[in-house]
Formats: sequence, structure tokens, C-alpha cells
Amino acid sequence: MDKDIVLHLEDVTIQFGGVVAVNNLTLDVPKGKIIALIGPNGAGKTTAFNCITGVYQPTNGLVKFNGETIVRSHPTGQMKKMYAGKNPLKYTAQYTLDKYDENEEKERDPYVFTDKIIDPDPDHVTSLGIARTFQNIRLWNSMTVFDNVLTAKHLRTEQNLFSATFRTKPSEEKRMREETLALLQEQGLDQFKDDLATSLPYGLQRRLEIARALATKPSLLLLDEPAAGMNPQEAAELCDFIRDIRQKYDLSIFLIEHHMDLVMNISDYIYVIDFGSEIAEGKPAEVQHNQKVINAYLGASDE
Amino acid sequence: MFKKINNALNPSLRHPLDEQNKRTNKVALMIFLAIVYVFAILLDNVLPANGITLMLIPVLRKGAIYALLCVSMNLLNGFTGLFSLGQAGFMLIGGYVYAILTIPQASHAAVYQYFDGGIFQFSVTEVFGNVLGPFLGNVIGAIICIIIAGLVVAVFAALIGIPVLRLKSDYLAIATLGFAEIIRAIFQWNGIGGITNGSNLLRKYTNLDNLVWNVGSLNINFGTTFAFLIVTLCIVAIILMINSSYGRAFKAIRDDEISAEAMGINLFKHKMLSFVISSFFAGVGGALLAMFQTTIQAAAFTSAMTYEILLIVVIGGIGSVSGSCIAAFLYIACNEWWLRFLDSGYLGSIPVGFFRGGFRKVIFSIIIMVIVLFFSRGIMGDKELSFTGLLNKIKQFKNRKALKQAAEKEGE
Repeated sequence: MDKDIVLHLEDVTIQFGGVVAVNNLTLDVPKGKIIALIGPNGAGKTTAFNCITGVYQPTNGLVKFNGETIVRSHPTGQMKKMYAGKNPLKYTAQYTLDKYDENEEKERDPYVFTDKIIDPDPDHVTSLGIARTFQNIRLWNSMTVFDNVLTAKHLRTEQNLFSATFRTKPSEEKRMREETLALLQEQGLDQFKDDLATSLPYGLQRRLEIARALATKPSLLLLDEPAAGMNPQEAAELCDFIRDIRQKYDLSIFLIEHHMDLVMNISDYIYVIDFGSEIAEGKPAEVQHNQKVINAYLGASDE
Repeated sequence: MFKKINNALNPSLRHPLDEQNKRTNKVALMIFLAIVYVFAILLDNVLPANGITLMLIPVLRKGAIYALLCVSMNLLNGFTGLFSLGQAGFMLIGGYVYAILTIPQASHAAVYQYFDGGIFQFSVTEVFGNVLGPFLGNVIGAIICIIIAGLVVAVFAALIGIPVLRLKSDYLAIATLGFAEIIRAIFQWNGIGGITNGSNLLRKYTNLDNLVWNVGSLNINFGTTFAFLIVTLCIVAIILMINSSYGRAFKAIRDDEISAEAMGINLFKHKMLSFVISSFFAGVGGALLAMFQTTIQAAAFTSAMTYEILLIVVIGGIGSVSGSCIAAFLYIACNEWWLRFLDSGYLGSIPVGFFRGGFRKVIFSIIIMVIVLFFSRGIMGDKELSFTGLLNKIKQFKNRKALKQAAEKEGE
């Protein structure tokens, strides 16, 4: 497998009862690139995000992060009977190929020919280095801007309960506070640091959410509609901002966005899904002129 | 919207405590505590025993103990957002563990009269008393037994927490309430009477009034001081934890579980930590309550006791430690002292017909309704009382007065 691939989704299918929210999605996020996932409302974009971050367990499929399998599943129980996606046996022990190179298969999926299910908790996924933001802003409302970012640093703290409570490692706490302040300064939020998070204007709340995600020291950032509700000028600023942080923190970015100008401007590669299935992929210019994409967004006539 | 405007205008929120203010507050708190301790010793020993001091001693002792119980409940309900109602059950275990460990050997036959003198035939305070003398033995033995009581409760809480903490909001409340009732029922069961004395009282263990230091002809009673000391230490530990990285993680879980989890905070681990720590201090509080009451019986630890504590937490402000402490003292003072006259049948010396047993509760309910209606977030909301904060408030009040006067003058 390509060493430069940070995130790799393979045959990811998520089914809620009879509804197939994501159908056989396969995609790659290369290192240091900005990849966009677009599609009309209800296409299953956020569901795919939730699957990567461990909120939902996929019905079938595999997610690899830096070459390590973090999510793996196959249809079981009720889903086994209702499963409507492709490759139902690919991630079970019954998987066989007429002609296969075992080593190649092992490299593709180290748990191949087993029934192993990997279903991590969201906090575990974050600790591996995947941070995310939310479509509807989810800041901690009772806390100040500073505390919001500081609290996200809890994941990487070296204090245990005792040393944190009785302040036996004051340097660690000091380091956390200094890092938080530096992060806020970089994001231009330091003048608001003592305000309640909810009192910020909408655009800054989005920015704060990104800053909070950065505080967990990720190598991959998942942005769920970062420009939602922004005016064109704010969106343009956001564009520079995202490029900026990618440079500064050596990030790979995977984003969902409806704002077409922004997507076309910022992305290196675009995947388009509709009704859960991928309908197109390619460089922004290619996707822009793809008839299927235009149909999905504008509606196609039957002729 | 109003909240936002308020927040923008409120200078205390925009400029939180800087280092200077923090230090002032610390010093002010130290001075306040020193005064309280001196007063506690004076109250126990020097001040004449009249109507007021005789009421003040139990009110201060019980108020301090309830302050600890409320803060420990606030840690869970107010700071971690877990609505748990198991407090009485944990207090019961704490109180019983403490009492069982400190009943003097000679009293076992009298206390466990229906159970052949009980199973345990030793007393921790006596063991220490034999080495260190009765006063130090009592104090150190009591402290050790209180810690053991807290630890036993913490272990129980961890066991209960494994199944229960996967539940959310109301369901968690119902499950913990159920566990508290089960604990009460088990402790009243005669089958383990050799340990718990069945449904009978436990008594004659080391209580607050046993903590008397004999120096020559002087007898110095440290009862109130001891209760205050343990309570202060525990509350300080809780405050330190709330202001640490873990406390912030708890608050994040309270504010938004989903984003807390997405930012790498392990929900189960942190909820369990909060639950176990809160229960530890509930156990300590239960042990202190046993020391205060001098007798302890499982039947008294009903769910009504949990509601009482929950009520104080709500009155004080969910998410405010100082609010819980203030409300605990106010509640206990009203309940045990200031509103007692309503039950007595007399106003001063005039007999009043409807002042009869239980009328206190009617007035009390009205007061609580008023508080809930007009201070829907409790006395303190989720803010903390501080010395500089108080000064600021007074300054603001004065400024407002001056502004008003200036405006009136201009009007003329």
C-alpha cells in the first residue's frame, strides 16, 4: 500500500435497517492534501465521517489510518439478513478468491480471512490523531474560549488524577496553558480568550472549533461543513485559514462542504456521493463538468 | 440573547480573576477559615452554654457535614452532569463502616445484644488509644476509619458504576436510587446482623464529643473543630480537582458528551472517576454524620435524605461549590433552628393555633418555591463566591448609586 495514504476507506457501507446511508465507499486521503467529500443533502457524507471517527459502526468495510486498521466490520446479526451492499463476505472468514496472493491480501487487510470486528470509541480514534469538527457547532457552552481549547488538551496531558489535583507537576499545567495561548494567538482568537464560547460571532465559533480540534494534536483533520452559514467573504477567509493550518501543522485535511466556490478553490481532489454511493471523483475542474454531478445537484430529467 | 448582552457588559466575566485577585482571595479565605476555627474551639469550650450556643453547635456541625455531602453531590450532578440519586446509600455504607470499626470492645456485648456480641471484636480507635493515649487514639483512629469508610464506599461505587454509568439522565437517577434502596434493605437484614446489627441501632462508637483533650484539669473539646477540619480538607481537595485538567474534562462531558468524546475524553473512564470520587466523599460525609448523630440506623437513610441534599444543591446553585456550602448551612439552620418556632405552637409567648407540628415544613416549602421561581439557578448560579468578587459587587452598587444621584442632579 502507498505509504503516503493517511486515511483509506474500503467498501464502507453503513446501513440503518433498510436504509443504505453509505454504499460501498472507497476513497483515499493522501498525506498533506486537502480532499473534499461533496454531495447533495442526505447523501451520507456526515455518516461517513461518523464512521471514521467511531461514532457509528459500519455494516461492512474497513478504515485504515496511517496503514493501521482502525475500523473493520462485516454484516452480522439482523444486518446479515438485510444487508444490501456489495461484498458481504469480504471481511469475514468465508472470504476466498480463486487466485490470490496471500501476502498482498494481508497487506490490504491484516485481518483478512478472519471475522474480526474493530469498533473503536471516538476518544480512541482522536487519540490516534484524527480530530474533527461538527456540522452544527458543538462547543462547550459554559466555558470560556481559552478553557475550550485547554480542555481539549486533556487528551495529551501527562498528569494523572493525583498529580493534576494536588498540583505536583505545575510545569505540565503551565505548558498546557502556554500552548493553548499560543494556539489562540495563531488563530487570532486571543483577544476573545476570556469570553464565553457562545458569545463569539458565528464565524469565530467555527474557527474556535477548529482550534479546539488542533489542540488534540491531530495529523488528520476532518472538517464537517466548515463554511456553513458564512458569507462569501468569510468563506474566502476560511479558505486561506485552512491552507494556513495545513502548512503550519503538517496536516492532511478531509472536508465536507456545500459551498462550491470554496470546495473548487481549496481541494486537491474531490469525491462526490449521492444516495450513499460514489458517483464521481477527480480534480476540481473534472468534477465541475461531470454530467452526473450536475444532475445530482440540479436534478436530472428522465430523458 | 439577554445572556449574551449581559455577558458582554459584565466586567467580571470579561476580565476573570488575575493573579493578584487570586492571591487576595486565597488570603481572605485563609483568614476566614482561621476565624471559623478559633470560633469553633471557643464555642466548644469557652462560650457559656446558653440557648444560642446550644443550638449553634449542632447546627454548625451538621451544616459542615451537609456542606461536604452537597459538594460531593454537586461534583457529580453539577460538574459532570450525571443525575445520580445514590447519595443516601453511599452515606449509609460510610456511616456503618465507620461505626463498626470504632465500637469499643467492651461495648460489643451491649450493642450487638441480639447477635452474640457481633463478629468483629476490635476497635480501631482503641488499638490506637492503647499506644497513643485516648485523645490522639480517638482522633487518629477516627481519621483512619473515616478514610477506610470512604474507600469502602468508593469500591462499592465502582462496582455499581460498571453497569449503571452506561445509562443516561433519568435512567441513571432511577438505577442509582434503586441501588441506594437495595443497600438500605441489605443493611437491615438480620442475616448479616453479626456485622450490621440487623435493623437495630449501632451506638457507643467514637463520636464528635469523644474528641476531648485532657491537659491537667483542662478538658478541650475538639468536636466541632474536627468536623470542620475534615470537611475543609475534603472540599479543598474537590475544588482543586474541579480546577484541574480532570475537572475541565468533567465539565466538558456535562456541556456536550458528543464533542467531549470527539476531543478524546474517554466518557466511561471520566464518568467512573467522577462517580467514585463523589461517592468517596459521600462515604466520608456519612461517617462524619454517624459521628455527629452518636447513633446510626439504616432505616434513617431513606431516599428522602438524598432529596434533601439534592434540594440544597439546587438552592445553592448547580455547579457552584460555594453555593452548596452556603445553602447547606442556611438549610440546616432553618430546618433545625430558625424555623423550629413554627412547630412549637407559640410565637414568642403568644399561643398561635396553626403553629403546630409540621407547619415548619409548609413554610419551608413556600420558601423553596419562592427560591425556585425567582432564583431559578439557585443562590449562586454556577459562579463562585470570592472576596474580590464581593468587593466588586459593592463597588458596582456604590457606583450605581452615585450615577443615580448624578442623574437626578442633572434632572434638577
